[in-house]
Amino acid sequence: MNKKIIYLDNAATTKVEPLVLDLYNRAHEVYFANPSSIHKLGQEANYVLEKTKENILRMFKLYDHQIVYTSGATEANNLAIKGACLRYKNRGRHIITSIYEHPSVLEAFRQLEAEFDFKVTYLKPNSDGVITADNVIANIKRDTIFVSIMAVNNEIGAINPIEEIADKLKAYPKVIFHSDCSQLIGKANKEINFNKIDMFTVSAHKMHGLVGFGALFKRKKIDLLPLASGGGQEYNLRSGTSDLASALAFEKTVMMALSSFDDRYEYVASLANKIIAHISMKKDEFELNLPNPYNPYIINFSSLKKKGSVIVEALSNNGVMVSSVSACHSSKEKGSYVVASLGKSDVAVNNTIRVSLDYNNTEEEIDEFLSILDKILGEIR
Amino acid sequence: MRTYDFIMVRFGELSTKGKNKSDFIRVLFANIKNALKDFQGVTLESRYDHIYVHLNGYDYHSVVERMQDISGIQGLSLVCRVPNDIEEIKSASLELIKQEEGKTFKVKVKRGNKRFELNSEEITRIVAPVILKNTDLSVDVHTPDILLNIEVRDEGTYIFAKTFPGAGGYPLGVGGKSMHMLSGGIDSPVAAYLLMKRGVKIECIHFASPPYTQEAVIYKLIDLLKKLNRYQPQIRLHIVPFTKIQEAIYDNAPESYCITIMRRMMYRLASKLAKRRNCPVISTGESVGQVASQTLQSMHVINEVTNIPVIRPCATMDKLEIIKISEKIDTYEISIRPYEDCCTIFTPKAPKTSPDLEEAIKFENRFDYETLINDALNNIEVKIIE
Repeated sequence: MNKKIIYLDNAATTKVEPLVLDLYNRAHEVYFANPSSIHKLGQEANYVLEKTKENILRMFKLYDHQIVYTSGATEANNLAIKGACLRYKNRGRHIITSIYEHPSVLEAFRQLEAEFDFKVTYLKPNSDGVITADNVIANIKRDTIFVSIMAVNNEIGAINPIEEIADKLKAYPKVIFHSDCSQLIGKANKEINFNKIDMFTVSAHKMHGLVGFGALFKRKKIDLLPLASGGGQEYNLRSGTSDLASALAFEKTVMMALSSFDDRYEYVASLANKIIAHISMKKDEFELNLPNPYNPYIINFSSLKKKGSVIVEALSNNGVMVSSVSACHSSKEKGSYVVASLGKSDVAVNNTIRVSLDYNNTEEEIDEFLSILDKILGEIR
Repeated sequence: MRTYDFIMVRFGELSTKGKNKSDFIRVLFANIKNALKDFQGVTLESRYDHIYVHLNGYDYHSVVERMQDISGIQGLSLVCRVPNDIEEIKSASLELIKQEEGKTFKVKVKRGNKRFELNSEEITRIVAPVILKNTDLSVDVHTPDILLNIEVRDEGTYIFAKTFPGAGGYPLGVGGKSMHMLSGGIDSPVAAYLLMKRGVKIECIHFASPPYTQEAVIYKLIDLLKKLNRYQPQIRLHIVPFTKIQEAIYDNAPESYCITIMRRMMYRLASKLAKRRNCPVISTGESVGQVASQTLQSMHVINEVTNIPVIRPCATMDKLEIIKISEKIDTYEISIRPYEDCCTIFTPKAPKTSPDLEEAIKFENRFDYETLINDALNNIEVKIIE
C-alpha cells in the first residue's frame, strides 16, 4: 500500500515525537546504571530520576502529590484502585465508578466486587453523556471509600467535571477520588487544578510519548497496597528496576503536551467542527454520539444503514485509519458499551465509528477523509 | 550406552504400487531430505526396500518427531548396526531390549547374508536365552510387547526394537496437485492436511471481499498455511478480489439465492485457476449438511458449473471429528479468530437449502459475470508461504 496514510486514531495511540525518541536513545547512552545502585553512576541516575518527578510535579503545579512510574495507564489504574481499596478496606467496602470507564478501571472494580466482597455502584452518564458531580454525591453511602471517574471518555470524548466532583467529595473525607486522565492531558486539561484530585492516571503514548510508560499521581498521605512487591522502588509501591530513560522521555512528553496547549485546542476544535458539520448533514446515514461538553480530539458517530466495521475497513483500505468499537464477528455481535450507556439504539451501539484527532492532522487531511467517506458510502452495500 | 546409528524408514502403501514404486521412493527421499535440511550432519541413503537416515551422532528424538509429519512413511525404526559377529549381536540385543518397556518379547531374525555361519533359527536360539537370563522378560511369540528385530546383512547386522508410527499415506507430490479453496475457517485447513497426507500437493485460492472482509483475514491465512508448511514446505496462496462479483450478486439475486450463486462463482473461479495452474482437481473443506450451501441439493446446483472433480475430504465427517484433527495439526486456535471472511458476511437470514438450478441460472444471467470473473482472475495477488 503506497497510498498516503491519514491517521485519525489518536485516542488509541499517537505517533512518538522525534525529540522524545531522541532523548530516550541518548539517555540510554549516558544514564545506563541502575538508579538503585550505590556507586557513583547509580546515584547520579537516581538523582536524575527524582529530578524528572520534581519537574513534572512543578509543571502540573502540584504540591502534596508524588509520582509513581508504571508501565502505563492500565497498571496505574489498577494500582490506584486495587491498591487503595485493599489498603483501606476496613473503612468500608462500597466503591463507585462509572459504567463507561476504560476496561482497566472497570475490570479492576469487577475484580474487587467478585474476589474481595466490595459493593460497587456503576454510575450511568446523563443524556449529555456526562457523569455529574451530583450523581456521584447522591450515590455516596456511609461505607463508601473510593470513587473513580474518568476525566475524558476514550470512546465518545465526554468531559466529566472532575474538579467539581473533587470539590464536592471534600465533604466526605473518608472517600478517595481517583480519575483516569489518559485522554485528558494535553488535550482538554485547561485550567484544571490537579491539587484537588487525590490520584490520577497519565499515559505517555496518548500524548506522543513512548508506549509502555505511564504514571500514577497520588497524594503523598494516601497509602496503597503494592501490586508488585520486590526491591522497594517507587516508594515501595511499584517494585522493579527504575526506567530512567523512559522517565526522561516522559518528562519531555509532558512538557511538550502542556505547552502551547490553547492554540492546539482551538485548532483541533476547528477540525472537529468540520467533521461534525459534515456528519450531521447525513442524518439518514449517521447519528452523532456527541456528548456535552465534549473533547474535540474524539468524535464518535454511528452508521445507521451500513455496518460500522465495514466502513472502518473501507476507510482503512483507502488509507484512513479510524476505529470501530463494535466487535466484528457477526455471530457474536457485541457493540460499544460506552455508546450503549447513552441509551442509543442497538443499531447505533453496534456500528460506532471513532475518529480521534491530533494537532498534527491538517485541514487537507480532514477534507480528504470526508470526501473518501462520501465516496465509500456510495460504493459499499 | 549404545547409541542408534540410523533410522530405518518403512514405506506404507507404497509396497503395493508395483512399477511406480521407485518414483514414489524418489519423491519421498526428496521430501525427507527437505524436511531434515536443518539437521546438520544427518545423511540419507536410499535402498530398494527402505530409506535410511544416518544420524551420525545426532540425537534421534527431534529427527523422529520431524519425520512423523512426512506423509508416505508407515513407520520409523531406530537401528543399531554391529559387525556380523554373534558375540556383538548378543550384547547389543540385550542392551537394546533393556531400554524398552514391556513384559514379553519375541526375537525375529532375518538373514540376508547367507554366508553368515548361523542361520536364523540358530541366531534366535542363541540370543533369546541371553535375554531370558539377564532380564525379567518372558517370551510371547504371538503378541509380544517388544519385537526385537535382527537383520544380518552383508555390511553388518541391524538390530532394532524401538519403532515409531509414521503419518501414513503417500509421499507428498505423487498424488499431483489440487486447487484448494481456503476460507480461513476450521474445515478448509483440515481438508488441506488430509489431501497432503494422501500425497496431494495443494495451491490455495482465497476469495477476499474488502471492505466487507478484513485485511486481518489474510494474516490469519498466512498463519494457517505456516502450520501446514510442516506437511508441505511451500504453499502458493492466490488471493482473488471478489468484492465486485459479490456486490453484483447482491444487486441482482434475491437474498435467499445469494449464497448459492456466490458459491457457483467461486467454483468457476477455482476451476479456471486450477486449469491455469495445472491442477487436475479442486478441493474444499465442505462437509455434507453443515450449512445451507453444503446440503446435497446445494452441492448439486453449485457443482454444476464445473466438470473438474471436486475433492471434499471432510465430506462425511462430523464437526467434532474435524475439530479434533484441527487441534492435532494446531490450526484450530487460528481458525476461530473472529474475523469476517467471505462466508460470514452478507449471510442471509434464510438461505436456500434446496436451491433450484434453473432459478440460480436465471438470476446469475442478469449480470455479466464472465467479465467480472476474468477481471478477478487477472488481478489475483499471489503469496508464497514457506
